[in-house]
Amino acid sequence: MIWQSWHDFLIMGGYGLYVWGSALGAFLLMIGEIIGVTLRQRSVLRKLHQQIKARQIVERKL
Amino acid sequence: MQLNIKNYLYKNEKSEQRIHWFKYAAPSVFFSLAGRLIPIFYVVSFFLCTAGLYIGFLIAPTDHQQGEAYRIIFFHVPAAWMSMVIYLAMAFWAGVGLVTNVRLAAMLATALAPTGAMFTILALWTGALWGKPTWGTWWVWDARLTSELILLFLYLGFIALQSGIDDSRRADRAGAILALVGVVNVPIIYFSVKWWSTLHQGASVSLGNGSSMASTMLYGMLMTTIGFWSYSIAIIFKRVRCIVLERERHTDWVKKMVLSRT
Repeated sequence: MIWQSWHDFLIMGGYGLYVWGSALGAFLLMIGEIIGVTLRQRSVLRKLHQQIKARQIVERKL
Repeated sequence: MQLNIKNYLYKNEKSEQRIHWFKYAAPSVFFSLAGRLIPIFYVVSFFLCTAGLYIGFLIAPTDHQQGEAYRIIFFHVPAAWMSMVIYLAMAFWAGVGLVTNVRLAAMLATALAPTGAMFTILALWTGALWGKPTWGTWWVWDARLTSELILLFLYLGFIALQSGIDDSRRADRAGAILALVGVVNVPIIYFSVKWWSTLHQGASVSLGNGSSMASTMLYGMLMTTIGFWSYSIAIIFKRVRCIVLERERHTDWVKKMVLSRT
């Protein structure tokens, strides 16, 4: 561990804004992408399920 | 259509003795394989990124020229490499789809684009945050930065073009042409620091000559790079599975799978 204190770690020798701004950007973009694809998957499954059920009603299979 | 498989078996070789790779070109088969692989790639990515950032932020020493600002490297370089690698993969699969008419190849190219665009944005964002304290500017129109920005426009153009065409096979072909025409940009980005005099620094890591960077910094950076690569595979497989479901929704296997899942 090279840091003497949490304060030093956060300040990053004066460059804290830039370093943590980069880390935050990476984190938000990647987590955002995971959330986005998860939502897409749920939406696709829900929509297809509705379409199949609707077709079954039309074909009087229910 | 009967597939004549005897053409590529050796004399007396039985079909069961050979791995039939081409079965993975079938969306249904690839769908199951990808589904099993996604959790593995997520877990690998999580461990590698955590370990890489642990080394990078808690073990690697301060840089004598840039102080702590250099630590942006652990996000910037992996993101930039992924932005280029994903574009090459996207152009490759788009080309395969164009030439062979295999739909899954085109679906994979479509799935690669958003992740590539995300990493390009991340590379530009972290690059700007690194440039301000070290070069004194958020942006400069030098060869590398400009060509990376063009890469972002190519990704966004590919996505927009494909969304704008209703017929999915025509969208695949149009996107493939755009992806292939744009692929020349990737070597331009890579060699820009060698061919032109740029503000962006030259290569400190190369396959031929090793690296000019301290080993803890290098290991941290390589671990986050492979972590980002593993993350990309996981998320792209997840997205291509969504695309397969959307485009193959009229098939029996999709109908059966959707009904059994929800």
